[in-house]
Amino acid sequence: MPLPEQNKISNNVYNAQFANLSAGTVFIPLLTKGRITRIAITVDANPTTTATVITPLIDAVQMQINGANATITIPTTNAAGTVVNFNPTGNNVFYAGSAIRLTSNGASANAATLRGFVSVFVDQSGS
Amino acid sequence: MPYPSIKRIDEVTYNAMFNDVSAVETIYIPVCSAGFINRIGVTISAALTGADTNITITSTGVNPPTVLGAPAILTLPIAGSAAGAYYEIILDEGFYLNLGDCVVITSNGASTNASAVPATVSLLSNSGQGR
Repeated sequence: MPLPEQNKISNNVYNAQFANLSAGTVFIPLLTKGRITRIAITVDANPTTTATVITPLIDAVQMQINGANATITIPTTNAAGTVVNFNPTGNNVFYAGSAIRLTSNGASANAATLRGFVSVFVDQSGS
Repeated sequence: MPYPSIKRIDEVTYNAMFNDVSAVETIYIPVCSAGFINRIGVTISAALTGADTNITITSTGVNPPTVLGAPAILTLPIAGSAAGAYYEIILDEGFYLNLGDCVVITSNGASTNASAVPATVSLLSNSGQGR
């Protein structure tokens, strides 16, 4: 067993679910100031025909990786329970009253019956 | 008021929701960091009827959750069930998940409610052994 990753006292988790991954947005209200360090997403079946792409935003601003706007792709090879991790490095700081917006493009053929499960890891230390 | 339990500094809580725990349904909770899962609580939104519902807890990790060495199954009995009823399962120490793993929770849908019974799940995780 690898050594566990030591959670910081300032770590917190928010959860949300997509009732289905048709084109639409899930909102997660944020209660404090902090920084999103990871978004973990899984689905209850593999997307068919076309990958599902989810755009992560805080309010209307898209999160970035290495200075570029970034998205989360759930490929058609993604089985139920397989987790896609997204680690933003830019536009990931939020304030109380903000909301995370996760917008699905609904591209997979089975999007209407595909559920999505989201965990968002945040660091509230303000750093 | 009873004394509050002291929150460990490395604890985080995950949440998820069954649309209808009286139907066969599986929900997934991806973890955001490697660590131990100790405790899972479930609250139902209406009384269950017909038969007890069993909720089985597994994972996509290599390390299956157990209770006293047996598979982790939480029974939601129809006896005494009501909106807001709380049920809890304490897992054996050592249920460890890596980053990229999921907790997988499945209802057997044995109860026979005519209307959907949403249920909320909370899950306690920390970085080290013990509770």
